[in-house]
Amino acid sequence: MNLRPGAAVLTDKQLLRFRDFIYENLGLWFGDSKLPVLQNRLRIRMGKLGVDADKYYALIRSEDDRAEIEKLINVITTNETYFYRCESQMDSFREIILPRMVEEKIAAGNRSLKIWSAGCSTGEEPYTIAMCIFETIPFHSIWDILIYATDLSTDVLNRALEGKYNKRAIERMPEDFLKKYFDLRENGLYYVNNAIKKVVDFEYSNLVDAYYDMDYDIIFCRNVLIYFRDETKKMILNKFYDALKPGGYMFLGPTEMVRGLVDGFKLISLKDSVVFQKAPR
Amino acid sequence: MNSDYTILVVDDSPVVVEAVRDALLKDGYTVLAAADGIEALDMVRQNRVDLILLDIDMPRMNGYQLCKLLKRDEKFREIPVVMLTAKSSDADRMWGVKAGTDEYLTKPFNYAKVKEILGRFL
Repeated sequence: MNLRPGAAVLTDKQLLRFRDFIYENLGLWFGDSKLPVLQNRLRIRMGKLGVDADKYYALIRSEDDRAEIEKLINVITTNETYFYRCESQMDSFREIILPRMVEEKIAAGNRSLKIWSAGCSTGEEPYTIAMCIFETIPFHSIWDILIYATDLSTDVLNRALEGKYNKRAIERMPEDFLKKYFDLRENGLYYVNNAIKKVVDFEYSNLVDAYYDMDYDIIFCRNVLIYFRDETKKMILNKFYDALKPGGYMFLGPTEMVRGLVDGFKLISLKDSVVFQKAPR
Repeated sequence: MNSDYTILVVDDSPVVVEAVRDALLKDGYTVLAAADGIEALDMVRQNRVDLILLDIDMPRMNGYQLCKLLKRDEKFREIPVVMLTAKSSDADRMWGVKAGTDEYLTKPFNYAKVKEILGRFL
């Protein structure tokens, strides 16, 4: 963690005050086990501004214009992510779910696929999904493919749109994906190619309050719900249920469960991972 | 005549709506107001609107989403959209451009600037 020497330290009381403020204003919840993460991220932001915790709290509270709150969102929600994250889950998506769905669609004469990557951060997940689709669907160019990718930070969305990554972000990619879907430029960075970019539509949206589209075949929302309290999780999961087509699939983070939070999802075990399928309520 | 023009002010802050509406009314414009993107969409469908002053962070449907929907719809794409927002970073601004906004103004609200833009579009 890059903390400046002497970066302000927060007392427990101060930290809890920030936690409540963030929950009330953004709906994001830092449980006790995640408080050290919140502490570190607040210290980064306060260190940058050169203010102590009380001054910083007063600053975000006094702001009618939300400008500092926006910056705080960027600092607290930016996560480490990379291509082909949670390999076994992506393998299951690519080798089991996607072929099954494509086969059913072809049989029904339907050549469209609509996927939502909710909390897409800097774009690694939606681009990985697009690559898996290109690999799985023969003649994908005649399909109507949309990967709708949303996040609540314009900063990360702009980076996602740029589609430029370092070696570390792509190190888990299958070798042939790298060759087919990236251009390696002289600066040592990997650029996602335009065919992939064309099927991903990035949009600014907060899961808590935003408008959302319907009729998704699959929703990915991995390691995002961990930021929310149970009541908010319930609301979001019900929104996902409504947004999915009958029989549609939902991928959450490998350790995230929904028991007691939403009805109507069937848990399906796949190799080393699980997926939730929408069933009638 | 300014009274020939209807301006839709979209903001979830009643304080902002009131301030903008008062200034516009003083200049003779006809003013409609909505508190979020969904309400604004209904208003655009039901009324003739000549320009939209649009906040971004609002419940239900945010300003980027509304702008994108309007600009994709041939019935509404010609209505000038002016984002008026506290989101002041380059990334926010770029996202506004991507959504199709015609102008991007940052708060605090500066009516002289709004007026200059209205003069340009109306």
